[in-house]
Amino acid sequence: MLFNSFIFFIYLAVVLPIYYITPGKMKNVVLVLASYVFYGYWDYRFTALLAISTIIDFTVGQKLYKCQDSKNQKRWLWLSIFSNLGILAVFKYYGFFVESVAPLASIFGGNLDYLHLNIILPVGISFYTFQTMSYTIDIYRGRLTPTKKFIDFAVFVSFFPQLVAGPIERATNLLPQIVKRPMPSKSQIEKGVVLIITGLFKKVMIGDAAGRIVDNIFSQPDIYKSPELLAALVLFSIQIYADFSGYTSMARGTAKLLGIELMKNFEQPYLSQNITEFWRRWHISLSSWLKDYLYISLGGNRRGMKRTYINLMITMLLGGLWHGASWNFILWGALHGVYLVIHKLVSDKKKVKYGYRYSGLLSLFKYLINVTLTFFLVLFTWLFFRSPDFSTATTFIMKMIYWESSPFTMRFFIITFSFTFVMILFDILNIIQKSEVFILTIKNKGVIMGILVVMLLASFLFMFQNEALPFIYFQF
Amino acid sequence: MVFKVLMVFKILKLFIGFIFAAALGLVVLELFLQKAEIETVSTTDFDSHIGRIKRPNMNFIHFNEGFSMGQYNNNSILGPDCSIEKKTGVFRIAILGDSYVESLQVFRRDQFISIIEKQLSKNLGKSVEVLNFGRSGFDLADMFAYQQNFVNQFKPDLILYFLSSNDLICKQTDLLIPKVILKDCELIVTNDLFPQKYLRTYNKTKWLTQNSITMQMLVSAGKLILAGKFWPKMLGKFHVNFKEPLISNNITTQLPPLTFAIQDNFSSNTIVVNRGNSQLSKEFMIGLEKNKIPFVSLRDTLTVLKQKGIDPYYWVVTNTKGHLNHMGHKAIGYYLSEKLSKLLIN
Repeated sequence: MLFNSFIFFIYLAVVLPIYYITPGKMKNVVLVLASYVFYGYWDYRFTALLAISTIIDFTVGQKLYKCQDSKNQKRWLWLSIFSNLGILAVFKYYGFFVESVAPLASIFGGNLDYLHLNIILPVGISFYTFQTMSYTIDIYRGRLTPTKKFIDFAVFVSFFPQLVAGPIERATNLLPQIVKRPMPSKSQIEKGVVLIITGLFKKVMIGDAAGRIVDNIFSQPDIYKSPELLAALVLFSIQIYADFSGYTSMARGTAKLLGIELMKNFEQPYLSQNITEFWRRWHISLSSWLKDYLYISLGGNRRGMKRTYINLMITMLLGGLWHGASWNFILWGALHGVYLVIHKLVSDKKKVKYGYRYSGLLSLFKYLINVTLTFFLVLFTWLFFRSPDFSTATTFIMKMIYWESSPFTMRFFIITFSFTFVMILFDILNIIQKSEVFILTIKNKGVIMGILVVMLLASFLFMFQNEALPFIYFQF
Repeated sequence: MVFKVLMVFKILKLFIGFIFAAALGLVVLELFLQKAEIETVSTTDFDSHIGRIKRPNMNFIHFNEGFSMGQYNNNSILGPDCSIEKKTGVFRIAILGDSYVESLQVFRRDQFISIIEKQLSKNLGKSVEVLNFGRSGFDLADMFAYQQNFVNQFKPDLILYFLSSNDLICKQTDLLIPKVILKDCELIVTNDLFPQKYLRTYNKTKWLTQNSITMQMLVSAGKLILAGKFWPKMLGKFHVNFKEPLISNNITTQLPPLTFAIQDNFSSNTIVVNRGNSQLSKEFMIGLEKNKIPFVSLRDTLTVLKQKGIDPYYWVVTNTKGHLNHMGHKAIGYYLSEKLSKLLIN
């Protein structure tokens, strides 16, 4: 079920009252059922996969905790990791592997056609497998006591607001809340509603609206002129941010209506002054997951500089691969890895700049230069992230080198500027008011209502006229 | 008493705040919608002589099947500005048709019209100007009325009618297009049949949709609701359609006398192009032969394209079948250029 569909709002209108009136003990049963309906709306068969993953990790969690000797503990941990990564390997990476190996096999006269299986990628598989893996790893590391109740764990894995595209929650944060079966406070309800409406507006009116141009241009870059391609790339950078941060807002808002707090996933990433800061602000739940469970497991920065750089590259390459089974994503990850290594080399042991405080015009100028440079570095990587194949990316680059003017340059510029301005405005207001629900800082509730009604009306009108576009991160 | 007054004051403050914020919000939203070109305001207007026309000097953006932008020029025609008076030495071609000619799905530079313009200029060795008079929803009678009331003033050297078998039925469904009628066996284009009440309402309300994208979106949503799309949109997969599916009974519709009367009144510089997948009716084809109107069919070109594995009607991004895509435009652009070159050289 898509958050940007009318059926989701109807679903919410049914699920929330049921959840509120259900007595404490049964609340989590309602949540599991609701979550399975939500997930099964795409394809009911994939709920079985979700159930299998839940059963395995719940069992492993129990065994790990009860196990005394480290050898057995390791065995159980590897069972969890293998089963989760196994599911991912089959459903997400199998086709990519066969496609990549087939040309090699053909050189030696082999034919791998019989290995081609048309496996459908289950929605959100990368998110919930990473989430359940963190549960078993945390128990192994002694950071977490496993839950005794299967139903609580089932909610942790399938919690519908964040099931399909995160934030990838840690059991240490989410499980205790689920066990408590909380009711939302008045403040949570207010913030929840604001987050849902602003998230929907970002997703629909900015992400989807910009996406209509982006999708068409990226599908046939050869027929478009250079300024149009450049506009499409900038628009994609806005689209993916609006789309994903819009989804996260809606997820966090929906969770708040259920009395549960989810972690932040974005903190104005395009206002970062360097690439390291960008990764602390972009898809925070994934980058912190990769840091905690991959980078640190590889040794982090404890084994000398050379090894640190290698670890960084491995983490970013695998981070790229996590996004999708394609060489484009690997290249995207590699580019970010290179950027991070270079930044580490350049900045040496200096503290990485984070945030900005005005201290004169010169500092503002420096800040703007840094933000712009970082944005352009990130923008270049988006080209590979968005391109369906290398030839599309090559066409883009060639058209940037051999510039072809377009009579529509000015119109594309104004369109791109308008989308960027509105998206950045959300971030700036967020910083000024020091609150992601900055609208709530307005004293007159009537004004808040007026703003929200207009945002909701516009989003609903757009949704009614256009086919609902899935969130970009659903495919991962 | 004081408590009541305070309560009323509080509610009033909330209400005023709400109205103020909503009004301001709508203005800001409208500004964003217009600058980001999320939709286009209504591109049509009414002219007492021509009927429903496109607004001159109007930029548009189109999202349906594909994506394009463009403009209606100073003469309400798709494309760059042109003068009514033809420049000396210029060979002018007018193309009449429906949305397949209008081709809002592709940029003008990729439309078959631009390809013909370029290729013919090359083949004939002189400047060729192709004017796009395609209008969505037009049938043969609408095209004829448009030619008489509007197109002829541009004095085209050649007129191409792009028709499909459905266009020959001449339903003339648009209420604000002049009607073509047969009166005492004489063909008349009349402006006397506009429904006055409808016209008055249209003229009174058009400024709303011509200036506000929000209003235009509301009107479009209303049209979708009237078309029965409300519950499917609301319920998604849970929507069950209880209505019996319409079964096409393949009854071949007899063409009205009006069709043949229009055919008899085609100007001598007319060429008829069959742009559809099915053949035009036999009687109509006999009439063309009788009137010595050249005829070109695009069916074979499009079929060859399909046989090569390229569906000229398929749109990848929206995964829909509809109007001609870029490949379709390219194919018929080159095909027609060759055909027209031969016809004109002979």
